[in-house]
Amino acid sequence: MNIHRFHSFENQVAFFTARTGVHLPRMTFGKGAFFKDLGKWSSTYSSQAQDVECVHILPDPVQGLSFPRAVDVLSSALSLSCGIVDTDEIYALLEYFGLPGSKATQPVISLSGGELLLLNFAKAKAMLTAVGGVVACSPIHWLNENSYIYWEKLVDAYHARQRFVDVALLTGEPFIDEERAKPEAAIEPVPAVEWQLVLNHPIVEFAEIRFPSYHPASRIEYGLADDRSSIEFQSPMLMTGDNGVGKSIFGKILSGILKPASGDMAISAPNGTGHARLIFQDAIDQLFGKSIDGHLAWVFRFDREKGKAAQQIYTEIDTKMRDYFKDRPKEAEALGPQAEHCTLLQAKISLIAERLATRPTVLVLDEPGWGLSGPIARKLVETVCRVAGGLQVAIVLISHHARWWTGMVRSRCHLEKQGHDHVIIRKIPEPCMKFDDTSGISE
Amino acid sequence: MNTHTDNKRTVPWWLKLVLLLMLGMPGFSGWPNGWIIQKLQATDLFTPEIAYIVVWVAYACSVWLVVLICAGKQKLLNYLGAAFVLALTVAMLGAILRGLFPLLAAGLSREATSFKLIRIFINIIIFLPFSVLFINSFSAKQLIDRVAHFDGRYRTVGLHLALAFRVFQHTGEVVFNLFQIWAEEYPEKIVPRNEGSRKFRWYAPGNLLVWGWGCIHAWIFACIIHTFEPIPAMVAEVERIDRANNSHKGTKNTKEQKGLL
Repeated sequence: MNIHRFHSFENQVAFFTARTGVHLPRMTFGKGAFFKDLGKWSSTYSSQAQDVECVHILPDPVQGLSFPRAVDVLSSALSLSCGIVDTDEIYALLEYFGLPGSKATQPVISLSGGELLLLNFAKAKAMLTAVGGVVACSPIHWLNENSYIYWEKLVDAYHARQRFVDVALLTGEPFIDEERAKPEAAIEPVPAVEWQLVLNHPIVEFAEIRFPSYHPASRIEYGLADDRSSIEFQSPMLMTGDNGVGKSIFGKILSGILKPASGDMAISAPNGTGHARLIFQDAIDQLFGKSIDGHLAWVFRFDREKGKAAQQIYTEIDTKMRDYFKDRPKEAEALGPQAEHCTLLQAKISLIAERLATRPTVLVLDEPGWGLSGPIARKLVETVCRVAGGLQVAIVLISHHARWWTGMVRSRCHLEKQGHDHVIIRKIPEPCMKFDDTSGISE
Repeated sequence: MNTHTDNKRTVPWWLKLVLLLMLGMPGFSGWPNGWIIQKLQATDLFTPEIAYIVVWVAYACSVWLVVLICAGKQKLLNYLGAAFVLALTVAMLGAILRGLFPLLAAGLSREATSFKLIRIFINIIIFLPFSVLFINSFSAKQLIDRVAHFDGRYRTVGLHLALAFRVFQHTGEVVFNLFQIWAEEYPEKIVPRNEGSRKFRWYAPGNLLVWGWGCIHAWIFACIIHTFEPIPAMVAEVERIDRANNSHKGTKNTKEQKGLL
């Protein structure tokens, strides 16, 4: 296995493009740059032919799945090596990579990040005999540690057939070869924000799909452990749970994107009782096709005061991060040029600043480390927690990589499935760190 | 366990195509709606406008019924929601622009202009759900597999069309995702989250126009950009299927020869 590590998402994408010939248009520069990139790709396309056919696992794993459902993806992949595809083979592949058979007909866009990666693994396994290798970007970033085994199974299968495995990672990103190192520096405690979550068994229903093919209805009912109706947290709070358990869906309920069919949910925090704001896993989509500056200008078109506040928050986070990485120019690459906002990290800072300027009750960061190197992700989240603490905004981190946030989070909750459609939210004590605002962190 | 085979609709693709073309016939040719309108007018009970509206609304209901049967209540409501928003936006913008720039009316009377806008409105609420039903009724995967087995120049043209078809399908998925992003940014959907100070009236006519136009502009470009974003990866995938099918047949067919793009 060839492992390549990069300090920024942009360098990782550049490597992927050079290695596979698949050009990913830039999404943070606005529509002009996007169409220019697409034009460049189409005009140079025939010269990018690769000698060896390979499977691609893209930084955003949904992009490697060109068909709308898992059955289509896998039958297409299996048909590369044999003309006629046996349906049982598709289900066997899903099972081999820990995905239930019900995922076969679920629309790919509604799968969780981890499930998308597992489906990419299943596709790669199906294509094994027809390709020379696999090029994968951050292949386990959205996976729970229990699921790393599926990546190892895929790598073993490729090695057994003497196929190459090229992995593009970001520096410090969790991976199977990771050394369990302690965080690079002790962190000053971030400000605490007390908030309360009231949960009256909200149920989210996903209607049955009858078109273009059938997929049964499903539902998730969220409840607190020990039949409680409310729970107090100290921000920053870390939310963990297995792949597909419903963490991102819960984030969407908290932020009002998904409305429960019955039951309800409420937040009580120093900034009031409204909905949370959310930064998605694939935050780049939240620019809505605009440039970073264009998006900020559009959102605050009618509210210059908040627009100025957002700019100030952006500058504060950006300055603190530049100061921290001033002696580490390679890592600071992700911060991009100060005069032009164009990198994924700058997009994330901008989206966070925009949300903090609206003073929400809670800001949910879904996998905030995606597309960022370990040190950058850690510093970003730490800085955001400090700024948010000053604004009395509670922070919720949804992440599989609890170790990244060690010494930073003040409370933690774990989501686990009980039965077919119940998800229990359990507050668990932070084992390593105890916070005391007067004396700082103690082990 | 529901398997892929159990879940697949058993209606052959050609029968589906024929049935859908028959359903869309009034849109393509105007028949039989035009003929029925004439018959209604001949009874002297209906003016041409009322006859038109009666017939096309009845046709709209039959299209919606087919969508309901095929796609279910939830999807029908989603499609109708999108169709009515689009139709209202187009009709209102059309009315405003024709008011501001009378030349656009091309000499039509006010009544004729209004009726034209009603026709546009009716067309959108009928043919948007119909188009989505049509596009999603066929499997892009099967189409690509089938086309990849062709020989000669039809294969290249077919693959281009199959890819375009898949990109159209992908638009629906993109809209679903964008709607969630929009709902997070603007919980009231059509009202800006950041309305400014109490003294500032974002809903003043000038600001409202800026907001409305900005929203339409944002949605159009977001849909285009997010639909086009995965095209390079999709093309790579289609080419791979094509090459594999080709190697199964034992014929030589390089990327340069095919010129997929």
